[in-house]
Amino acid sequence: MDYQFAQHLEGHGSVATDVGGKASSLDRLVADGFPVPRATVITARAYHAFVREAGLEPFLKELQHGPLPPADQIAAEQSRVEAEFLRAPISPELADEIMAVAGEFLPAGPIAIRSSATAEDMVNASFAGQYETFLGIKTADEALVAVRRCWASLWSPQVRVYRRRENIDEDGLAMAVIVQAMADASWAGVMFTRDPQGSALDMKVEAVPGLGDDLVSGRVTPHGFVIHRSTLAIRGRGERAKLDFLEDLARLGLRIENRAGAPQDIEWAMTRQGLKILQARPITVSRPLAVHDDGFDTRAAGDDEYTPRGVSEMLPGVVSPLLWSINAPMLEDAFRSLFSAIGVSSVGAGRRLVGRFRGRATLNLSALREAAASLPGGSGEEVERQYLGHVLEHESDYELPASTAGPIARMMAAFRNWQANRLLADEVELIKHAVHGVVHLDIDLRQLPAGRLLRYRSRIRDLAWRIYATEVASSSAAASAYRALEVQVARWLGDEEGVRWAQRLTAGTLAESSVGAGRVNQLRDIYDRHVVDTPALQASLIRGGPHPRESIESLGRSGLSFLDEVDHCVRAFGAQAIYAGRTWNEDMVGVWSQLSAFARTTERPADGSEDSLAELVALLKGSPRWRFKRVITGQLIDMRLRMLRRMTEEATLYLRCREEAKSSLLVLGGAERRVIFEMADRLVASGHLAVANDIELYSDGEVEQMVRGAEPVFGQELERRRRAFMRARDAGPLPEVFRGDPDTADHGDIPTGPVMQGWAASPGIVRARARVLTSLAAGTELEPGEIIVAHSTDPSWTPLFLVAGGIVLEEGGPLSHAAIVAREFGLPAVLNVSDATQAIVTGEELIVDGTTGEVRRIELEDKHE
Amino acid sequence: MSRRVPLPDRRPDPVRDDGLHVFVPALMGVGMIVSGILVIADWVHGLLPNGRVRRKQYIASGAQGVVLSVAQAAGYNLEGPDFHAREWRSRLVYALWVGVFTVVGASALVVGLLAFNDDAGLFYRNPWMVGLGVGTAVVLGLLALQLLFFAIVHRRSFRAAHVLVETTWFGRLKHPPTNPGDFAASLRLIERKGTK
Repeated sequence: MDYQFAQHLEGHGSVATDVGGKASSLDRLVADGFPVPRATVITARAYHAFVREAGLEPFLKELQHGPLPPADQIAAEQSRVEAEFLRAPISPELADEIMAVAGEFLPAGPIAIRSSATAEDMVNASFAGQYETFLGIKTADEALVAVRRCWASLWSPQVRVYRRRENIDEDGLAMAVIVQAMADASWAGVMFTRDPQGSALDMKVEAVPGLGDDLVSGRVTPHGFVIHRSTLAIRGRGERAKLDFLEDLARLGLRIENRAGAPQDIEWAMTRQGLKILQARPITVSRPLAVHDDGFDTRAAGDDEYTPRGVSEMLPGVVSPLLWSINAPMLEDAFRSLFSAIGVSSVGAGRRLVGRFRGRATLNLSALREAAASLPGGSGEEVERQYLGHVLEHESDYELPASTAGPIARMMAAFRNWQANRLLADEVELIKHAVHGVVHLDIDLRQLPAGRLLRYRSRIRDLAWRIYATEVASSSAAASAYRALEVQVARWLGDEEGVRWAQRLTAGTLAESSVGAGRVNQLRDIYDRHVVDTPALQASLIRGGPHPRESIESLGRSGLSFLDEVDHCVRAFGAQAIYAGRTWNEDMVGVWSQLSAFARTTERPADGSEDSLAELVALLKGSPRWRFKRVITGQLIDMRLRMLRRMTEEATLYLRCREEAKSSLLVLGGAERRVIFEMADRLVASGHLAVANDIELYSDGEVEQMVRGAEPVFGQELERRRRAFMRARDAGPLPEVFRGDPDTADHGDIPTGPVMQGWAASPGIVRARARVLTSLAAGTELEPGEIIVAHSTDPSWTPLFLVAGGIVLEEGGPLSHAAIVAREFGLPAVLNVSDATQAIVTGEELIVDGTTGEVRRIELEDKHE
Repeated sequence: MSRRVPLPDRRPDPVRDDGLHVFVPALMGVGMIVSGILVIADWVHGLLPNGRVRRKQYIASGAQGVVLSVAQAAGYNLEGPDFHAREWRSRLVYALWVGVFTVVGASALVVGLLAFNDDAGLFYRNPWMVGLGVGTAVVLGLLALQLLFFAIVHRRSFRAAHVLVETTWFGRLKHPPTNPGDFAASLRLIERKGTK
């Protein structure tokens, strides 16, 4: 039926000035094929005709320009406006048409009359809940009254207040009205596709049984759920079993968001015909994005302090949206599993433990301090020592949290720890076997249909979750075992010696297991077989810089067989530094720099291993105090030595577990990276992506939806992410500790003195020239014997350790990768040297004392003298 | 002029003091007992099997399960060894067991009969003693016969014997591959029917 003042919503492109914002957005949903209940709109023309014919214009002008009523007069004012609209005469044509529209729907049951103002569902002002909606209308006469009351709600005092606050022009405003059949909803509610109060990675759903108006009006407390945007994992309270459609609802929400290009506030209903979308509008209460924010950064809530230390080795540098959405939930979950295993699960409740600022990963230091302090015997100080390598200087009125538990509680906690850790070694072995098995499968991904490809990726990811949990648990176990060893030795030899001996006792024992060392050995074997006796190959490796392939190929058969073996070997290395991140065969600069290092240095790296324990035992046994105590306590066998040996074994075991878990995670990351490439190729072929590399700018969930056929995130949003990503890359590293916005943290002055103090990570003294490195790629300039000065390193830097004479880093603690590898290779290393990369310049001569933690700048020392 | 007279030393003599007389030997005693226990615990620990094979089996079969789930997600199946299987022990081991069971079985029979006939003993004319001795001897004798059969026929035995060895303690635990590379090489991807 054709109407003069009404229009069916059939997806033909109704504009907001005709049908209002809400109806216009519903029309777009209909056009895009989303499930929207059938609807007809009494257009804005009808409203204008009514106002004109009823002579309401002077009255409305008065409302528009007059003062707003005081708070206690609002109800009376609203009644007055409504009465005017109900009293005003309506033309028979218009009234008949409204009743005819209602009559179309009424035979099927009661109808809903919803407002749809021309100023509604705007990007900056949603007018949510401001206009009237009438449900359960059973007759055409009731419908006519409801339409007139809807029109009146355009001028209700609350709406006028809202419009003036938002500075919205009231000239030409109109109200269209949507007439719809009532949804026979079993559940209804609202969904925010990006949680306005919580994490940007989550969606929020509120649901009530029956119709959703009870929820909107606040008459009932809804069941609330938070759904992860990527994994669609559901958390929340309420009758989950009855709400088995939540995952479908979440997918639907994300599809609507993709189409609209912005996070959406969606009203939905679950009916016998399935899910129906009643309304969708942009979320207007989103927080402003910082300059560097690509939409994936964490909004620091409350007063929590964050630090990039400790986590920057797991998630180094600026982490792309794709890698963040893959890795962050796994790391967050790993910390929570650990907390749960050691009985402090309440600490992280409602807080994010892993955050992202300026694209860089951070840990919630406040939550970690509290977790440590709630463990009997633990303290916030220990956490700072472990993650930062030193204890921070706090304001005088701040006291670091510390446990006050007694000895029995400590024993119980130690037992719980032992229980949590005792199967770690077996778990690591299992993981290593499983990862080798998965990589060995070498499935041809091109043959897999989309669903199967996603299932395959999902199983790989399950294993990655398990490895992340093991890595974090091993790190924690290693840290406490290492600290116990330090304290034990310090009891006899003093604090400084305790630190030194703990380093020596755990050095060298990690050969083959540390991330990178196994890889170095494999490449060394290839080098020994192919290059040692072939000077031409050696020369190609040295002269070829980061790209020697062509030069090697030109050598003929010997070069080609060498390349074949290197390529084959490198394929199994997996990711370089971050799970599912860049692989070694994707960017071979690191491999060539490692092989070139072999060619440039005639000596194999020193093995840091030595029988340190025997040396320590001899030292302790020589002490009269030690011998006296043994005699006086009647020890037939020296129990303290047994304890020391056991502690050394334990610290070494857990350190090895951590390194092996990390190594396995990276190898498995190569398998997931293959899936990402395959998906990128398919998305390029289907036109979803312009270039394969753009996949890094999408979240994991978005990629999955696109592979399943959903539309991509629109271009403007993608460009914003790209620009923010580039800006974050250009920005410097994060401060050591910050609260809220890292940009406002105090960076301190750059040191100018001749001696810089840091944390002694690996013993020994070296005097050589400095090479300040800002990236791994710059490592090809490193000359043999030079001292690496950098902000931090990750496992992909291991090749450079072969060439370097010493290490100076701005970051790192006793158990950081750099410390472990430096000790393994016997390189003097000082970590935690503030602003080293800014103070020291390339070519400057340094003395690095890895025993005392001093970095001496020779030229400045000479000037001072 | 006064003369300085040295005052007697009133500090407790660390050796002759009564408190220390008790404390030092007590402390030493406790230390000796604890360290003695540790020595014995070490010795016992060295004697006991450390379950290494079972651990390897747990690891290998657990990892196989993970790899299988990945392969199946991609529409494939996995072929690989049964990491819980057992294998034949050496003939010598079976022969030694025959000797041990025979000696223990015969001893049980002799001890039972002697106790039954010893009129000064607690079990004189007690039929349970004879029953226990004969029963033990019969069970161990049968086991010895079975083991003798295994020692002679060994791997050439019939199918049921193989099953018995592969599923019970008659066989020894098979060592699964320790090296992850060898483990991976023992697995083979096979296509599942109807998935391609």
